[in-house]
Amino acid sequence: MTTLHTNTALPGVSHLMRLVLAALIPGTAVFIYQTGWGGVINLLLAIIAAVVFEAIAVKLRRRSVRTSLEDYSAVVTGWLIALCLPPLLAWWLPVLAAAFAILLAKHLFGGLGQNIFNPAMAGYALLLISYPLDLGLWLNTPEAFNLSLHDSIAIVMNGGVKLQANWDALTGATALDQHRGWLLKTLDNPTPPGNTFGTIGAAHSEWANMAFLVGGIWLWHKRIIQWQIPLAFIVTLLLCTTIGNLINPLQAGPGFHLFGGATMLGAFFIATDPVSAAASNRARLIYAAGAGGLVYLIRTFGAFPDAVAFAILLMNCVVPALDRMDIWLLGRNNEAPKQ
Amino acid sequence: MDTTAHVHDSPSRTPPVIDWPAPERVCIPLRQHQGKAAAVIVTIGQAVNQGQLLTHSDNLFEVPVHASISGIVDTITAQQITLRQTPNGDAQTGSITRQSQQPQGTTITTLYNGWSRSEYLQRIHNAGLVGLGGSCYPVAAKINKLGDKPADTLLINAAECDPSICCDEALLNHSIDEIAMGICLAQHATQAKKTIIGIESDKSALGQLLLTSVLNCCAQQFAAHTELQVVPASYPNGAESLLMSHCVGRTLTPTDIHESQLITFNINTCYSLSQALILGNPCTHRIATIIDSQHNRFNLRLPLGTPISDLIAYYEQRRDCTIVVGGEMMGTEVGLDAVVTKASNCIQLKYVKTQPTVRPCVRCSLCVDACPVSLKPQLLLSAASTANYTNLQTLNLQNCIECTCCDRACPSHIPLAGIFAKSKEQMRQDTHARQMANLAKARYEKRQARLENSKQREFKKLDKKQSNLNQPEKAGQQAKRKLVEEALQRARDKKKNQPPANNNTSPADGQS
Ligand code: SF4
Ligand code: SF4
Repeated sequence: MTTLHTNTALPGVSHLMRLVLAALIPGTAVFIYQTGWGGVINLLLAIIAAVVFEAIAVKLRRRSVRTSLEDYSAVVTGWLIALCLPPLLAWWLPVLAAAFAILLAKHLFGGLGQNIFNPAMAGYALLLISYPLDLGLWLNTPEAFNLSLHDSIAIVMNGGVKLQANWDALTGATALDQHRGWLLKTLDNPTPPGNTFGTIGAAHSEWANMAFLVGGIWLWHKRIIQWQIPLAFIVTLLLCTTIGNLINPLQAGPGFHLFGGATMLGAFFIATDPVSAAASNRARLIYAAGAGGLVYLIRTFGAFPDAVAFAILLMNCVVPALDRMDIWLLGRNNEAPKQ
Repeated sequence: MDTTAHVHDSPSRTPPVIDWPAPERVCIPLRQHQGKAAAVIVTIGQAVNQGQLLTHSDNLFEVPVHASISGIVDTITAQQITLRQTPNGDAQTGSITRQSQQPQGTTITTLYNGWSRSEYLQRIHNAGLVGLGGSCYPVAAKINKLGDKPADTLLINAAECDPSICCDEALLNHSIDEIAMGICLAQHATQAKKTIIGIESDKSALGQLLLTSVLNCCAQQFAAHTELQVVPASYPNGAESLLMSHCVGRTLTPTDIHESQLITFNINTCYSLSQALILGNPCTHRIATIIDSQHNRFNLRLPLGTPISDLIAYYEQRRDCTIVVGGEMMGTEVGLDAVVTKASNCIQLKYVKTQPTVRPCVRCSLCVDACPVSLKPQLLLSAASTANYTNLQTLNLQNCIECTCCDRACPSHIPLAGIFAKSKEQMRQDTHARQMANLAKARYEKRQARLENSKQREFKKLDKKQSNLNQPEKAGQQAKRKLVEEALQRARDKKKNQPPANNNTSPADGQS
């Protein structure tokens, strides 16, 4: 019997999305461990909002609601947004991000497959620009983890942790923020703040990064994503940070960057979103390398809590050009042998 | 046949070839090939014998069809001829007596040695032979494409074109010697410098047998250049361009093959070739794999024009099944009134399954990884959806072999191969239209140039005329002047002789 050139029963989009969700589980578990009920509430809010807005958008566009909800892409979008957000935000912030992601970044461009920008990152970027203060507040004291579900809901419903009397005691800037804050004003203080570094990466986020790395590798093993994007992303970031660290030893080294912030989430789950990534492997290498370099630049010289979202959104803009470049190169290759 | 003994050692699950009895009625489409239908040469009510020509044409692209049963011509339409068996008619079994009449190797050599290529073409054409691998390209036209030159490589395609089809293998089990003779005939007809038998790795034992059989009966000058090539048993290696690429060791596109001296015959075609040229049995039957709704497979030798509903009645409980002609990968659904044609290499009977939902392309590139000829279906799709013919050309749409590998890989279940087939057609039309437009433009420009030219010429003619006119005038004037001068001279002479008193009147005299 002849065998097929390819795997016959390759799964559909919804199956792929379900696998992506499964791969997110380890990272999400660490995330929830670190953020307590606040993280769970964020996840629920963002996912439910994303699904509801997806349904509304599809209904408005007179398409089959069932078909588009079945593909789980809205769930993934909501989930990714929640993983970027600090816990105990006012309830409407995750909802706003999901609405922006689904309605504007996705359906205004034509729905699944047509969006230029990664919806989750577009939603998150909106919050980053509009509410930078809220997004900079991560729970980092033991008291924060011990908040009960009831208290957490109360905080979320009452405008988030920012409006709490004792918010100073509960939260602090992220390690990335602290490090950059320190770096830009190094002259005052010769050593970085003690709680910036963890064992291998940035304090707090290193374990989540490890978990996302594991999930991502599993996803690659399952052939849902290809190696080009994560590898180019990570290697570029590694190179940039190593060089930066060698030139200016005050800058954090590669370990801090690779296992800090949303690096691994970005490399394996966000940059690999096929819709907004480049089409060919060659173009993908450029795309991901660009994103990796931008992450370094924005983290070191920018003014936002994390850089992955902006780096990916900026490279999303380049994708159409990369795709054109591909066709152009192909055309040139075709002509070459004839000459 | 002696080959059956060998076949036992290849653990073949391929069902044997069974003859399907001649049906009551057959409905023979006039066009069972790539090209136009030939002209009908029978009339309604006429009695025909099996193998009798129903249509005729001298154009190699208008392949004739033959009666596949003996009976009476019932109806004739622009598309098909229906034959029905006479009520008292002898119950034809539809099978042509084969094995018993098989000539020996030596006799064949003498039989075909004498023919020239045009004689081959004539015979092949009149036997209604088309590529039975599924392409249905007229065989005679294919050979004719070589011109007077010999073929560089003759490829014998013994690889199944679709994973669900097993009629090639069944045929190898059934009549390996006839195939071998067909190959020898093909060698003679094409004068092939080299013959390669391409077969998949899981049938390599059969391939070896076939090679031996060919070497036994083929002429000396071909035997030295006949070889077996084993290709990996993976879809779509049975596709002509891929098999050819495998065998000649470089990547060839369908266009390359079309433009070169390479030629491919399926073993089914070779079988029919030997049937037609040695036994004089034209192409009235074909061997097809039937897959019923329970996924049982049968290999049947079916009279062309057999209604597929006959098969349904035999194999299925219910009549409302869907018919798919072609294999699992490339098959297309046809209506319930479909009949067996030269193209039906596989007939699948199935009850309708729900089609998976088609979603938009998510640009995942899984199709790019799946494409066996290294195209980029993802980019092709976006170019096709905007009818961007320049990009489609750049992306080598014409190289797509419509194997549907990309369809299978696509998580959005987009029917890519179907879309590409349509785009190809559109692109062809577009190119044609553009060529026509260019031609028209060239014609217009030529005409303008011609008009301009003739105008110029007219002008020149006028000029010339004028100058011609001027010249005679001058000549005349000169003559006149001469006359005048002569007259004056005479007058002066006169004057000299006459008295000066007449001086005043002299000019008038001189003028006259
Ligand atoms: S049908 Fe798809 S996989 Fe097959 S050749 Fe065409 S583009 Fe490639
Ligand atoms: S496999 Fe389907 S969804 Fe994926 S890129 Fe190709 S056409 Fe698009």
